[in-house]
Parts: sequence; C-alpha cells; structure tokens
Amino acid sequence: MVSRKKKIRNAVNIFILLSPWIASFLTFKLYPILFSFYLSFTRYNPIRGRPPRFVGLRNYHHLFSDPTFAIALKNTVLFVVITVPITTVISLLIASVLVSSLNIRGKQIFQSGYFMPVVTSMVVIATIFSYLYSPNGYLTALIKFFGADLKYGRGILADPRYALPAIMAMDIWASFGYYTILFLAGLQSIDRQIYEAAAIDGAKGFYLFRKITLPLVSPMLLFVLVINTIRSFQIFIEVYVMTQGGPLRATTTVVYYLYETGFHKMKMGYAAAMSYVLFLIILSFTIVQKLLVRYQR
Amino acid sequence: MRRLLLIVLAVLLTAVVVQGKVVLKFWNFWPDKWIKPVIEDFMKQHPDIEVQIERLTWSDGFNKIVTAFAAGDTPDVLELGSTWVAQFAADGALLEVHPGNMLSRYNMWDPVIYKGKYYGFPWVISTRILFYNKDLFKKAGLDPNIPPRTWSELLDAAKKISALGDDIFGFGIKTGQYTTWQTFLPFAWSNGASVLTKDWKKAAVNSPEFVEALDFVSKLTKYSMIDSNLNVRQAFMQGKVGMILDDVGRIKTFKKNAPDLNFGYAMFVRPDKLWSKPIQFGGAEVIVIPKNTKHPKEAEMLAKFIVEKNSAMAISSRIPTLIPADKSVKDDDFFKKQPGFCVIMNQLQFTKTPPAHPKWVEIQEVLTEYITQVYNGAMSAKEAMDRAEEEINEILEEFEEEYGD
Repeated sequence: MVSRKKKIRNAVNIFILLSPWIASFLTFKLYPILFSFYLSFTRYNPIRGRPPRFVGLRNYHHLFSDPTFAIALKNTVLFVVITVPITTVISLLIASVLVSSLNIRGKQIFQSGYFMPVVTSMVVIATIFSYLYSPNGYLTALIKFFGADLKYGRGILADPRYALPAIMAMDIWASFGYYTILFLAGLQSIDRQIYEAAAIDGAKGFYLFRKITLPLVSPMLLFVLVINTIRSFQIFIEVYVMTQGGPLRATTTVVYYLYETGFHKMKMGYAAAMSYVLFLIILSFTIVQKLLVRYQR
Repeated sequence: MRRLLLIVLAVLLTAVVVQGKVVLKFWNFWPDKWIKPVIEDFMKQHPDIEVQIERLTWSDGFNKIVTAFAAGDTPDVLELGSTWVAQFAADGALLEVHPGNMLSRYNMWDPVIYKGKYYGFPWVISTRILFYNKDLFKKAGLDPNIPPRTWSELLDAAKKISALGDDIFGFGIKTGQYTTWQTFLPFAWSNGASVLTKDWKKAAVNSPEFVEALDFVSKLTKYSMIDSNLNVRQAFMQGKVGMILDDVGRIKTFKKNAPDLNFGYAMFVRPDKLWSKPIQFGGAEVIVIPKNTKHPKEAEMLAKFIVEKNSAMAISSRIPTLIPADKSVKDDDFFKKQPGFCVIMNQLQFTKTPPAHPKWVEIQEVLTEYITQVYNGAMSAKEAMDRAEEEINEILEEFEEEYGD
C-alpha cells in the first residue's frame, strides 16, 4: 500500500516533469485554437494596429455567398474523395503483396523505396514535379502521348482541367508509402493459423482476402482512412509551391484560400471563420467514416 | 535572502535607467556580414545610438513582418518590398517621412507615396530587360547582334524561332500568382495604358491602349512557352527559348550557371508607334519606419543613412544589378565597369511600378484571372477587360467605403 504522502509526491513530480509540455501545449496549441475561434467572430486587420472588431456571425454568413470559397470547397472535397480511396487501395494491395509468402527478391528494398517519398520534403517533391509538368517536361509529354490536348507552349499545370489531377497524382505518389507501412503492421498482426484453417476449407485468393483479411484489417483501415482524410482536407504546400491556387482557381483549396485571405488580404477574422468551417467538415467526415466501417463489421 | 533579492533588483534597475543609449532595431533581408559595416559606420557617427540588426529570410520574412505588426512588436527601421508599402501605409502602420531635397537626388519614389505623403525611402532598385539566345537567332535567320526593338520585330522573331522545332519556343511568357501581371503590364504601360485612372478612383483596364496590348501578347502566346518564372528561365538557360524578360541580375547568373549559353540582352521592346517608350517593371527595396517606434527622430536619421549611396553599396557591391536609388550612381566608376551598365541605366529611365493602392492584391487577382482567360483563348481581350473593369471598380468602391476620407 503506497502511503498518501508518497502518492501526492508522485503526482507532483509527474506534474513538474510534464509541465514544459503542458506549458507549450497551452501556449502554442490551445490558446491559438481558442483565439482563432474568437477571431472568427471579428473583423481583424493584423497590421492596422487596432484590436479585432466584433461582428458576430457576419464572417460565417459571408462564407455562404463567397463564390471563391465555394470553388475552394469543391476542389478540396474532390481532392479528398479521389485521392483517399486510391491511396488506401494502392497501399493495402502493396502491403498485402509485401506481407504474403510470395518470394519477391529485394522485398526490403521495395519497402524502403515506397517509404522514401514520405520522408522527402513535400516542397522538394513539388518543385521537382513542377519541372516534370512543365511544357518540356517528361510527364507532359507522356500525357500528350495519351491524347491530352494541351495548348501550345503550356505544361500540365497551366491547364485548368489537368492542374488539380496533376497535383492529386503527385500527392498519391508522395503519401501512399506511409499507409503501406501502417497496413503492413496491421496485416502482420493477423494470425497465420486463420489462413491455414481457411485454406483447409477450400478458400483461396480473392475470396480469402475479402472474407478474412479485410475484416481483420478493418481497424487499421479505419485509421488509415481517417488520417488520410484529415490530411487531404488540409492540402496546402503543393498548391503554394506549384500553382498558387491557379490557373483560374482550379487548384485553390480551402487552406490555401484561407492563407491568402489572412496573410495577403489581411482579413484574419474571415480566415479564422473559414478554418472553423473546415474543422466542422473534417469532423463530420470522420464521424461518418467511423460509422460506415462499424456498419460493415 | 529577501534582502539580497532587493539589492540585485536595485542594481538591475539602475543599470537599465543609466543605460540612456537609444537602441534601434533594424530588420532587413540581407546577410549580417554585409550590413554590419554600414551599421558600425552609423554608430561611429552617432555614439549615443545603438543599432541591432536582425535578418529576415525571403521565404517567410513577409509573414514575420505581418506578425510583428499584429503583435505591436515592430522594429524601428524596416526593409519592405516596394509592392508591400501601400498596404502598410494605408493601414496607418508606417510613420510619415520628410525626404526634403532627397526627392531630386533619388530614383523611384512612386511606391512610397500614399495620398500625397511619403512613407519610406527607396534603397536599391532594379528592373527587367530582354534576354535573347544568339544561337537560336542565327538558326532562325535573324542577326544575332540586332535584338528586337519593337513589338512587330518581337513577334517576327518569335515566329521564326518557334518554327525551328517542336521543343523550341520563340518567347517565354511567365505566369504565376504575381508573375502573370508583372510580365504583362509593361506591355500595357509601354502602350500608354495603365491599370487605374490617375486619381485611382476607377479602373482603366478596358482602355483601347490596354486592350491593344493584351491583344498583342495573346498573339504572342502562339509562339511562346507559358509556364512559371523558374521553369521559363530554366528552359531559356537550356537553350529552348528564344527570348525572355528577366531581372538585370541574370546578366551575371546566366554567365555563371549556363556558361554554354550564347545570350545577349537589350532594353525592353516598345510598340511600333512614334513616341512610344519601352517601359518595364521597376522594383525597389524600401526602408520604412513603423509608426510605433519609440525613437522616430533617430529612426529617420538611420533610415536616411542606410539609403545613401555609400551604405547602399553594401548590397550593390555584391549584387551589382541592385542599384542604389541614389542618383549619383551614374557617375560611379564601380558601376560603369559592370557588364550591361548602359542597358541597365537606360532601362531605369523607363520604369513604372504598379499603383501603390492598398487593395492592389485584390485588384491584381482580377487582372490575373482575365489575362489568363485571354491567354487560354477563352475570351477576347476586349471582353475580358470589360469584365475586369467592372470587378476592379467594385473593389475600388469597397475600398472608398472602408477607408474613405
């Protein structure tokens, strides 16, 4: 039995050890989140030297009639709805192959290879891809070979129809490695014996995958879906480096529009409101995903 | 224990009070190594002022400045890009300055004037010129020693060079969030057009001269590579583009980074009209004084010292194509020996800056959108500019309501 005094002593020690992190969390995470919430109900120009002016729900109201925000929302949702399933499927398939008993030489090399884009700075990746997408770039030539009609002298990123898909493709390439690793962990935790038992009953191939692997990996699947969705809703760096929201707003995402509004147009209150709307959207998507996966089970 | 604490506090307080020296903070975008000698010089001449320098990076310097103003924790003297000054001046964030006789001795005051008052001092200035690939000129049957001087010559050269091959382009048109209008506006300016009327109350983008310029450039797109600043420049260095517009600093960097490139450079082109001038984009680094400085007089002294030719040389001697705004430069031996000196000094006579309007960010957004539509062939120049004029007028009205006097 630990004495009361010792318990309190312990608690105090723990608190002291945690205090640096608690202090930094309160100052750099919690406070900005709350201040941002407050800002979303104000009009605030950061360089004017005047304090934020309370305007109630006006910012939120304005979002409904802002055509650029509608475009940003559309682009962002499109981005999420297309890249998340594709990335998830690719990474799950690759992980299944890597974990199976197929004797592929250099499995380790593939594993590290798939992960390399993940540990490379997105700014570097975006810069290099913007060369590949330039009028003389390899990927542009490839697309033209397959019949894309790009105007003379223009690269993929200059065409409003292809710019967003181009960024999506790059993002899928850059991020699937991370989820592959996660799925590897998930798949490796499945007991081999289940597969052996099923094999005895005559199950094989895709049926095996659908009825056994999928249900057993579904916790990891949910996790991957959720974090991928949350990340994809916040896409910013690729747009900032490659297209700055263009051409003609084709690649403007919510976070990019938010950044422009706050830091270029000096409308911090409006930008804060945008960020909270985005938060609510991501939250709803996450809840829906959770319910769906639970329903599947 | 308590007494010791009191003594320590007393000593510290006295130290602070006795300090007496005026301390100025100077934020700029250049290496400390370059700026330090200038500051030390200043401190020698003014022993009761101490100056602390802090360096900003180009990638996040602007964000840092905005944050500093928002927090009320600004330096006493600050370097800003010329296109940023208007916003800060309109929001009352800068101290008004009195240039006096500096007005005639320095170039490029336009960006720092707001509602007839001055809010900064031009420090170093630069502009853009035409670069062309002499080898491609030869191949296309053009004289490599005679660069195009007029719009028709430019179009002709671009046509001939584009015909050389699938992956060769005659001209490079740069696009990007700010790049699109920076590349296009000089054509409009050279044609006598401008974005806003003189009193800034209305848009002037649908004037016949403006539309004519846009028409011309959209003809040019048929023979041009259209991509970001970096990619167009890269392609030029690789010998794939016949002509581009770029900062005068490239005279040196092209020689260094593309030694096999046989290039020439010249002033910008002008319309085929009798009195037209080749007007290009003029940029400047400007020294401003944030309003809530505690030492306005000393700050103004420091600012004036920094922009003098001898101090501005701290940057110009390392980057000779960033020229001191101080006009006495044109007789300076150091500059006379720099390659392209004549071309640069000539072009500097014909520069213009975009309107220093606080809502310029939103105005240029509209401009970029419609220029892009025209480049894509989705609209005619006239139609695009008519629509742009409407939208820009809306922005101007909104501004008058919010900031109007």
